[in-house]
Amino acid sequence: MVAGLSGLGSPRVRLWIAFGAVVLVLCWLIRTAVIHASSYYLTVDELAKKGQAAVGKPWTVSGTVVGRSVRWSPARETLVFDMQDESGHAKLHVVFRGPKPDDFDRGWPLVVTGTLRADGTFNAQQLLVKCPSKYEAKSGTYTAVN
Amino acid sequence: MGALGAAALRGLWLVGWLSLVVHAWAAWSRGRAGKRLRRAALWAQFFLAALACASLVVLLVREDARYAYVAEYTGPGLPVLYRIAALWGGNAGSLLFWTALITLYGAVMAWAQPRDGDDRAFTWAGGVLSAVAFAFATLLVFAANPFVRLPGPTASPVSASGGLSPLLQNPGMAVHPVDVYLGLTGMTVPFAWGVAGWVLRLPEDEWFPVVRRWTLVAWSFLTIGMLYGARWSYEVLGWGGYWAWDPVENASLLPWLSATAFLHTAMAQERRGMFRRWNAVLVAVSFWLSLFATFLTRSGALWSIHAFASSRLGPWLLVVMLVFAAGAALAIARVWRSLTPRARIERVLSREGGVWLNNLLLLSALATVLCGTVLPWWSQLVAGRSLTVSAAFYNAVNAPLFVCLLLGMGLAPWLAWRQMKRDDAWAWIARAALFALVMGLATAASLHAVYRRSPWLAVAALTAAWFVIASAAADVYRSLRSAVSSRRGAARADRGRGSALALWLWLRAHRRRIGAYLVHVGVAVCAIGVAASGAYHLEVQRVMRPGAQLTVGRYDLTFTGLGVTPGQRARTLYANVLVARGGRVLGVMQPSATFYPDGTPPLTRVAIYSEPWSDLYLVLLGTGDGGSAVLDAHLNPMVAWIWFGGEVLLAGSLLCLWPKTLRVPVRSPLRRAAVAGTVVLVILAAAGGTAWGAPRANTRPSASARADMRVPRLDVVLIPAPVRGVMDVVERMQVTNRGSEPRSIRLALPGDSRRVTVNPGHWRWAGVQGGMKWIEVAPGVSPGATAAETVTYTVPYSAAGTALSLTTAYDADVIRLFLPEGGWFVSAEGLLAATQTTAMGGTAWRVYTRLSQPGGVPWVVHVATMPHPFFAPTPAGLPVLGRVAGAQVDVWQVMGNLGWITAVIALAAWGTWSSRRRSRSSAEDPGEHAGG
Repeated sequence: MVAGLSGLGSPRVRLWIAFGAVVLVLCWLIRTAVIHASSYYLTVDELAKKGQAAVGKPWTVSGTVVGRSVRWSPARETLVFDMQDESGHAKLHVVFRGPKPDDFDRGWPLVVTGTLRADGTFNAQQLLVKCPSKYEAKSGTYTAVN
Repeated sequence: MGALGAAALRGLWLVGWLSLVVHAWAAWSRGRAGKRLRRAALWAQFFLAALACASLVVLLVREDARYAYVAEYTGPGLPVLYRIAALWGGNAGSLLFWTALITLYGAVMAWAQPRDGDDRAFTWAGGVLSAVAFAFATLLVFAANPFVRLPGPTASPVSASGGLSPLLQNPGMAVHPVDVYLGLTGMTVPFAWGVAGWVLRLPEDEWFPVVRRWTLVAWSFLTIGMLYGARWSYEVLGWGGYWAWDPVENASLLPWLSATAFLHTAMAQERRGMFRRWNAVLVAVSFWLSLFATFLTRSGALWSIHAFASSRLGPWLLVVMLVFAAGAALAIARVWRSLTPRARIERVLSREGGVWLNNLLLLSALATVLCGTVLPWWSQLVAGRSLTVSAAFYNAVNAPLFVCLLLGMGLAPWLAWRQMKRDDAWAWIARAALFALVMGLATAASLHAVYRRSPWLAVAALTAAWFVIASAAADVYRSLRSAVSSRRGAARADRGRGSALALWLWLRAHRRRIGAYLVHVGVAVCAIGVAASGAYHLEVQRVMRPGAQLTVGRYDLTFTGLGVTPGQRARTLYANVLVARGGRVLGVMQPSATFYPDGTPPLTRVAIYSEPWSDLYLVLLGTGDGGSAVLDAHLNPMVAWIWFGGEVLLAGSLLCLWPKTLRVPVRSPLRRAAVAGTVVLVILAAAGGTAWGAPRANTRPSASARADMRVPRLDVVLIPAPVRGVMDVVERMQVTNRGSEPRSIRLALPGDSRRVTVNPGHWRWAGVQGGMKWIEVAPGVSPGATAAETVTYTVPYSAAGTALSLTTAYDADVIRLFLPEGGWFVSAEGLLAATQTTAMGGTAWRVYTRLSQPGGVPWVVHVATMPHPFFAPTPAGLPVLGRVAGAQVDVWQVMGNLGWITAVIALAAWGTWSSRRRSRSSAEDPGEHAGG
């Protein structure tokens, strides 16, 4: 191995070659990974505005759970709910197969990643719920007494 | 107490100002002025910050709800430990704690500074520490004051879960944030000394060892903090396993990566004067990344599971980051020209070359993680659309990088400065590689046998990790063998003692090398755990009736029934799952869910039975008809290796921090006692850490008990005798008519129900169908109004429980069901939104839910009302297996962590003190300096 490399000049040159190789491989890795693992980050309203153009593509959508719409079927392990964003104009009907996270039904923010179907249902592959009140307590938990 | 805290905070800000002025004045007079005053200022800052923290803790423990922060984060019934932990549970409190930690580092540095002689370097280092503390004190006083009082007297909410979210009431809360904060704030110390060195252009041996030592301190806190966080996340359902590449997780990983890179190049700078510019950049970057982490956590700029607040702190923190970045850039630019390397890399296969490659790989990982984290901003800026990457991106790029890093770590022991270590190094590498190949393939094969897959990258990672372990062990063996044999010759008179002494001398001489090997081995053990659990995994979900069986890997699970732990604050519903392996019963696991009477959603508690080869991870997803449970069973291979690797790594970092001389730096008996106390704490840390790392919560039955537990006992122990009786079911419904005209509710009662009474004239029989008696209740409510109806009927119950079906055509808001004494709400097939149970006058339990179904489509709701005798208690004579996440506070873990923190800081301070003394005396004696 050492003998094989000795033709390539000084150690500095060899290290720079290694540097170039690592950077090239890294760029290639990042490029492939970004193509396969990236999705556009939208709010519910922004996705709704895209209309039919959004169907069939991967998206990451943020919004809040509409508390009353949550339907959890433990037997089928399917979670169905609506989400909307702060503007509240549009609702997105989401179907997620997987365990229901705790603390799901309080209207706290979440992010879903998945694809939009032609019937307007969002098939979520991944669902992330914020861990509650790490830095901010929810408002209105204490009440003033006159 | 609050006034005291608020005053301490204002005092902290003022003293911060004074400290800055005093330090500036001292820097002007070249370190001669105000030596005592500077030290006092650093001590006073710590004292005031600690006082403010203590006041807030007292307020939290006493639950003084006049203060907004206390009202937000505590509640009645919250255990004391979590009341204390609420100090770092919220934005303002955690910022105060953060500031206190910076001032703690300042005070420790002041202690570690010898009192006599020239301390120009410390003038600048103390000044920078004061400046950082002052910046955060400013944020505290003007933007996020934890001592803000509410406008009027308030009543604390009656919250059964106790204010702090139940998810945060986990033993992890008592340790994880503390360690991560210590790690991130700890990056300030090396930066401060770096600035001192660059600005004053001091000789390197006067300040560089301090930088290296304190980077190691911060690095080891970050490491253990991330591991505790990973473990916590692993034990909580829905947080994405132990690592989710969440922006805040990335935020702590970024400075960790740059600090790791620095710890390697620092070695080359100390020994050969290389990478001097690069190291300056790394020190500044690590500090800056720790500020960046603060910014990410508190600005709300990126979305994360760690719930950032969109607080006002964002712009402030941006200013702080810019100011310190500019200051660091100026300081480094000042010395850039003088930082020429004193040597060059002569061979690729040398320690210098290895360090170079290590930095290349670590910085590549850093670049990847940073790119992925800031991609949403960047793409918004460039393309106008926000683009995010999923965990798959980070895994795809980082996995190959880390396999290469592991290979490099395997080669590391055989690289010396300038060249390969010995003539026979290649032979040893070949042996280690062969061993690694055998072990790697064996591990992969044993995993394949259970999980039926063999991803090539995981096999490569496993092999590479074994290579690291084999290489380190081989070099230690070689080194130890020669040390013992040479010493044995000298002490032939007493062979046994000679060997022990030789071992001690060898350990003392090579403590940094052995420490580094231990760290490498710890990382490799973690890597084995990560590669195995990341690439291999089994998961089965099943609706199980009592008596049903399920096989997961080598485990046979039998669900034997549900149980209830009664309680005032909350009740826990658990499933008894009998775990057997190879026909032998190991015990019972109890995944559970805790219900709170105040409307806090139920919390799922995962049960984990941890063995070295796999973790059996059970989740109670829900319950179904007839006392059935929906179970989610995972088999996660070798997760325990991650935690064990963390222990090894910690031991290694402690060894690296051990000072060169073991001389106790004090003479007075009091201070010697303090040193002895530190030693005790080190031992405590080791004990606590071991307790943490070991799967101790797995209560193993004794050998004789195991022999007793051959399978046939199953039927005898676990299925409770059927209990029969009669109960009254009272359903009170409040129905709001949201439709345009009144409609009726179809209500299904159990087929064997008797004595049905409803408000006369409001109901009629609808017949019998599907084993149910159907009635129609028509309250005649006008649109928008709410009516109350009471339906009472008597049903016999048995061990199978009683199910109640309810069909409503109303767009009903709330339906309340009053269940009999001891009844337990079990199943909610189709019953959604909030479900609550509340004690009603000690006689009944109320369960209600919100239903909403647009368009008047009927819901079908099954509610099982189960009196206590239905539930199977924990089978007698069987041990409960596995840790139930967050079930109890682990005092050992908290004590161990405290001991460990004290040990690390004390060792580092001790080392700094002795090295500063040495460098001072060597500076006074140029001859010795040149000789060194």
